[in-house]
Amino acid sequence: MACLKEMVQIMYKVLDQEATEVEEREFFDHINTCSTCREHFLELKQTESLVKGLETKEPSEGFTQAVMAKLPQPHKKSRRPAKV
Amino acid sequence: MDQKVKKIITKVRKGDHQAFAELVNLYKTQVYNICLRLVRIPQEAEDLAQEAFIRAYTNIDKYEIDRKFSTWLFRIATNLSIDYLRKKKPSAYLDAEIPGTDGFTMYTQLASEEPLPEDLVLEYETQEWVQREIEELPAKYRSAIVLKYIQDLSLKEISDILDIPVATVKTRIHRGREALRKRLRHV
Repeated sequence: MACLKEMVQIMYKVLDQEATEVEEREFFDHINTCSTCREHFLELKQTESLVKGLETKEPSEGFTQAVMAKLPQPHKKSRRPAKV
Repeated sequence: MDQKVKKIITKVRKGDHQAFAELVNLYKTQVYNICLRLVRIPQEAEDLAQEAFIRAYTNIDKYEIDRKFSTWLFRIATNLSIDYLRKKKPSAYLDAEIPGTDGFTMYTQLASEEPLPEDLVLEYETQEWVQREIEELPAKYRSAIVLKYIQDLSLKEISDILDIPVATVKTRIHRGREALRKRLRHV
């Protein structure tokens, strides 16, 4: 069955935790009977968890040093204030 | 955190070159991961992340101290990565919007029709596969998806970083998520 565009919009709200209680109930009632929307919803949930599941990678050990080495050099006077 | 960052920035502005290293240490992982998930290749991501910090340093006087530093920094990193992709990929026409379709592109069109070959699934570890599919997203969807799901940022922060309205961020996340769903459903 071709579902109403509005149902997809409610599905997005449910995913983004923006749905009202009424909308949420309406949506979950709907996917109990509509396999198309149920599949769609589960696939979106799975997509989210796959993307969230990407590991955080660390940059190389020398990262900070490499950045510092490439910074334009500050003026000498600001690096070491002259003693009077 | 914010106070600490502001103190460091004040030092840097006064000419304390070394204080900048503290900022790099605080944010390098996040900046690197934004670049990595946008451009995928570790060496290129590392170069872009370094460049983002260098630009932040040279433009530190332009940073408005009352705003969130990470937003400003992530914006530099995102823009650099997207620019890099634009120059690298000649397939920009796929990214072009089809007139009158409100953001629909040839790419989304193609993606929805194209099943993912099963041997491709076997070939890559899940992580690499997901990363590749993210890379296939048009740049504007990719940046919204990366900032939301990898960096876990709010819609408001994403809107500030990308300099687009919150409603547009939402649309890009919805479209990007749908395009990814079509490619990732054959697990």
